[in-house]
Amino acid sequence: MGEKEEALELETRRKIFAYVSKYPGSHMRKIKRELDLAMGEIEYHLNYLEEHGLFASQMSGNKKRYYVANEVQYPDRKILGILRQKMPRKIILLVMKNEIISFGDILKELDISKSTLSFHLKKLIKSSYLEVRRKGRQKFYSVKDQKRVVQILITYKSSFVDEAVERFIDTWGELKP
Amino acid sequence: MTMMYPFVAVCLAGFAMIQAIVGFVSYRRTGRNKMLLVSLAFCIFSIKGVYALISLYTTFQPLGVPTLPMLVLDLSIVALLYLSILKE
Repeated sequence: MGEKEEALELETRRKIFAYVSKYPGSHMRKIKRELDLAMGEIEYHLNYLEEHGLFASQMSGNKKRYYVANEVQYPDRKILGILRQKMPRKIILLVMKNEIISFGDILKELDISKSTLSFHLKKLIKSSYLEVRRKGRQKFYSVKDQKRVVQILITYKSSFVDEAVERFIDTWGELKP
Repeated sequence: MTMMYPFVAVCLAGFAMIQAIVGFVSYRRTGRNKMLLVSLAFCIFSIKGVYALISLYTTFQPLGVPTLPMLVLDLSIVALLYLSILKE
């Protein structure tokens, strides 16, 4: 699956999560209608959200109603601060997609400098959501708690400030003499 | 002095302040000193706008009163940089 498709999937899941948070007990057809999604698509995403512990469901008559699962923990500020930025988000999605990936392979996939990648990887490792293993001279990265990262990416609410900050970092962060 | 002067000064202070705040939040989130430096630069622009207003209406003019064309130039710089973070 391409990067664009993955980002779109994440966005759709975020929309579904936000809708069910606002209207708990919604059933599949209602969510489909309100969010204008195809039946197969909504079914796939609802199953995914249930499997990843974000939603709980209950049968009521012949309808399956969805709720935000009790065990969903909203993310702490520290990790949110990191994952709100586009580049760390891209990195963690790439690592999740590959399960384990080397520094060189991440560099190939993302159009950034070595130093920028090292900077973001260090932050992600420090936040304990990414782990690194050495094999010879190469470093390999993997996501420590994939379920938790999926929860964070889906449950956080982005705001106007987040978008402004992201663009500010994009504009000024990559500038070099 | 026309109404243009305070208008330009307020816009300069405002636009620069918004970017200084966004820059500071970026610094808090990324920890990169570069963001702090850019934020400080905008903060200085903002101070310049506030100083222009103060110097216009009070006798506090240790650096003189900035001229309108200079303020317009400053505002153009800050507004263009503001647009650069609004547009993709």
